[in-house]
Amino acid sequence: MYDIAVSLCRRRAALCAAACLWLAGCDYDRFGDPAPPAGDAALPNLLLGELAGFYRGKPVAITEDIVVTGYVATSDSAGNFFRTLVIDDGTGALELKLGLYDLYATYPPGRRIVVRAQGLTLGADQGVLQLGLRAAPASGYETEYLGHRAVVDRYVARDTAYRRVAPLDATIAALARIAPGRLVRLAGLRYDADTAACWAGERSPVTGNPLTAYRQFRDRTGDTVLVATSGYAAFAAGPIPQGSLTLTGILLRGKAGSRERLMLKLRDTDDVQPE
Amino acid sequence: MKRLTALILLTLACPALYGQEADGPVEQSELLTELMGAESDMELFFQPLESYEDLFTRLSRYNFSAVRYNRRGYDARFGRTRASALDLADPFRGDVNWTIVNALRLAWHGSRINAALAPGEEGLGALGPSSVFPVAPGDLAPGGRISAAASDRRYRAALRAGYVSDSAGRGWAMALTVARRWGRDGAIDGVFTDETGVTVSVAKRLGTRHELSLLAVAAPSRTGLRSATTREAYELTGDRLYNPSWGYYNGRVRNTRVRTNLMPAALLGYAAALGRSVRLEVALGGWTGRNGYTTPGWSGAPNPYPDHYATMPGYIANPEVCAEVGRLWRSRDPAVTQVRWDELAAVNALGGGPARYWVEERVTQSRSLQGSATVRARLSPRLTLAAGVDLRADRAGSFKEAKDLLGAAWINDTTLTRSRVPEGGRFGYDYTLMHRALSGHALLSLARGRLRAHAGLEYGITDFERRGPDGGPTAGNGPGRASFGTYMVKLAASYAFSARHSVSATLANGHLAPAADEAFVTPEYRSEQVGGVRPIRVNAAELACDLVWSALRVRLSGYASRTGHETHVYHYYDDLSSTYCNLVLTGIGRLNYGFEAAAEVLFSPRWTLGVAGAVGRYAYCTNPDAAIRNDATGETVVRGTRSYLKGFRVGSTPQTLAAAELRYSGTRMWLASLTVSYMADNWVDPSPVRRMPRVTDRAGSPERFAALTDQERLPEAVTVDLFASKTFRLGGRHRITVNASVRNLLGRRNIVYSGYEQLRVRRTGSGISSSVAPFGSRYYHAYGRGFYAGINYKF
Repeated sequence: MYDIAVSLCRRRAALCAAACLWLAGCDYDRFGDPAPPAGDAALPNLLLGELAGFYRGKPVAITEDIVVTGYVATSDSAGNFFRTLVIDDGTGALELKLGLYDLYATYPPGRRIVVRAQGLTLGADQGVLQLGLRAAPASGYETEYLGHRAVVDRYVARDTAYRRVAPLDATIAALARIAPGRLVRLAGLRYDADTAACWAGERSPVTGNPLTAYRQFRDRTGDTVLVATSGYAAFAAGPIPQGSLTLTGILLRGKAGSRERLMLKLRDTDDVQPE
Repeated sequence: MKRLTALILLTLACPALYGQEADGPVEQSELLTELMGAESDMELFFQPLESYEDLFTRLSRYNFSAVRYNRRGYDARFGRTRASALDLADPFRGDVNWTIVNALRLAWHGSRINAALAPGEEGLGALGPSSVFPVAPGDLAPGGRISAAASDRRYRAALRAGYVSDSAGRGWAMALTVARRWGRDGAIDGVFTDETGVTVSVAKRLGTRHELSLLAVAAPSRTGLRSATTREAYELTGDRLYNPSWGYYNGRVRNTRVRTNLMPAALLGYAAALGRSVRLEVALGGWTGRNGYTTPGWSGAPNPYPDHYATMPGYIANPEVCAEVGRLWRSRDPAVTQVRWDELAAVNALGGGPARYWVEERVTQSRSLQGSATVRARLSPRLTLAAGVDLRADRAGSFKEAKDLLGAAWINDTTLTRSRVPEGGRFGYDYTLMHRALSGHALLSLARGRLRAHAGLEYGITDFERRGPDGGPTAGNGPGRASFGTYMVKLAASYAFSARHSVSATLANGHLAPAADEAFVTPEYRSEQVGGVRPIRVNAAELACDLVWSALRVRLSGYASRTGHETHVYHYYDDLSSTYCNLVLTGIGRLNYGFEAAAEVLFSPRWTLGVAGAVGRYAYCTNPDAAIRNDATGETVVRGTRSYLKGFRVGSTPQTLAAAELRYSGTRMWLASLTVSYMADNWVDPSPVRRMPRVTDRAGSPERFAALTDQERLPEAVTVDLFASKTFRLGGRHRITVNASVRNLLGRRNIVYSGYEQLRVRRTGSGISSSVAPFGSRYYHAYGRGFYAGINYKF
């Protein structure tokens, strides 16, 4: 035992050197900081306001090499927007039917998005211009969701540029001159009912699934606008505040009952500000 | 000695030269099984002692490594694994401390296995196999050994150097081994091994009656794992060894599932001959260290796993999208088939704020302190008694650590700290489990003429306690404690018809303590115990006979056991209530019975044929009570129901086995063997969720009911393995042995290693046509053809 100990002590220097080499060995699981995200800074060859001119009331396949860009104006974090997002470039708005979940994480509000539209279908729903896949004739929709990130990545790219989309301040009377899909802000609105209500809460008597609800708001001039809220939204069961409110949301032109009405679609409860 | 030291230094230095390579998810027992399969022949050759208790164990031990294999259907809870007096059971998970087992195996320590129910040399034994690693210097052949090996499974290269001193002169004996194993798997991307082991065993004789011994072992390791995935993923990639756990990170392969272990252990022993026929053995030992494994975490972001069900072509309704995604899978586009590390980091960078994706490490810091004292006495020429006491105290602190925030600055922790947690901080849960056990045992053995009889009793008490901050809305539960009385009684008798032929019978009855994981519902957040948790009841019997002739050895055995009062807690996402839940099953019972046969024929001094076969049936024999609780709040979601498991087979092991080994021992120290193995009656682990009325009542048709409840039988597997070695004598004690083995010589790639049913179900249809359908099962596949080659220098 003594001989062994002496022998090892004499080789202390060599042992340290070997240990250093050993410690510098295998790095299968050592990684540095991630690389900064690469962004797609491609410039558009068409503005969203111009793209709207391609739509003539029925879905149209995009066959040209059209590139549009915009900044994300919506968030699906509260569940009122579902599997879609709206981009806005200041001239118009476009809803992208991506068909993915948690879009607010992947395409955060304010991030610039580049869309290469060739191969997609341009349509509309509730007056909002939409891009998606060609829909089946019997589906009842003009476009279909892209449905998978691998397919989305072929058409939609994310840039690192950021700009918060500022809402257009308007009155209800002026909404008719604003293209659906734009982010608008209306002040001085009151819930147009005497009884307290939630943003949504009704369920289908057949399936039991939550339904989209439409709540009417009136401004000081007496004009009215509907606020559409999905029954699946996180704030659906929340009470509508009393008093005068400023509401911000995406402008829609949809049917409630048998009439076509102007509507707002809120993103979350931050879009509701008491005055 | 100079040569040995230089070679040890070389062993340590080599990884630095080979480990830096140009770059261009199992469980511990699975890892060990595959390692054993690769090295079995090398270790068999170097086992200096009679290592196996029975012929079937020797012939079957390594030959079924292509599948997950539990002898007689018993998992680790029902067996015992010891390193001398150190009990390697993990009382918290009902498993084995594989970290230390791997460290011992890395150091050339093979184990002795007693799979018979009857008590053996090591004492009363268990229901399942008992493994003992003999670690004293005297248990190993003296001399030095240096070996180098190459493999294509789990690692690429291995180096080992060891020395065992002669047990003579000044009363000292020493065994020292240093080992290193490293490299990426040759067949499975993302899998790697980086481990080092040092084992020191010292013994000192004090006079003629006393002996002190010390064992110390440490084996830090880091391994990249693979994940089970669905049949759809395997078929799309065309790769039975497809691993969804890894992705490219800055151009390099990075695995989401990495296990790290550092668990040094030590055992101090004292043995004394108190008289001519009384021996006392006292031991004190334990371990302390850390196990961790990483996994991706995410919040408010899409699931990062490439094989997530919602992103697979089979789930996509649009035929165009389905076709395109399928094409990308078949082309092995890593943007679809692997984890997109760049995307995870980009989401964090572009979102700002808290991390949406991160890598978390689930850590367990363990300490075990054990003491034992055993007296072995020959009371008379025919009667021996072994009696003793065992004490054990364990502590396991478990927590999650934010290992890598992928460029983000913090995680929002909504459960433990309810604050921002930076990289390296703990979040999610942080709790401690404590285990204390005290037991006494006595084994009386009678030898009278041709008759041998044993009567053994073990009695003890096991105590679990949970401590730690309680997070979540049910804070304030305080410490929780559960105690269980345990015992085991065994009666065994054998009769020798002659010096070579004998028959034996054994009966066993006992209560075993459940694992801590089975005693607490959600130990991460609450101290709540499983209602009705009881000791596991065990009843078992075995009948065996050994027949030995000059050229033929035969062993036949039949066994049966019934266990009851088992509990199990499953943590899963419950689709019917759309919440994360805990499913608590109590009253689980199993019935295992079967027949084993083994024979070894010596055709000549050079040719030996060994055959082993087993047929068994391992199945659930009760419909356990079931309750489902909300994981976050603890509120009851479902109570007073059952899971109809009765009659379903226990998964994770084939229930029909056969192996035939032809061995040649040639002149000039040649060895070769050819083994054919057959594994059948292997079943996918059944999901208790799918067999509950709340699920089956929603099946819209008999076909859908069958889809939920039918249990899948895995395909039969046949493997052919080849081994050869040649030893060269260099004079004196110096020898060089070269060996090579080829596993799965036929290259069969469709062997399923194991499979399990997922706990989730999918809602289909709506209204009156609504139904539920099961998620696809997940599988591991066995390796294809693999090789192992080694060279060993003995001096």
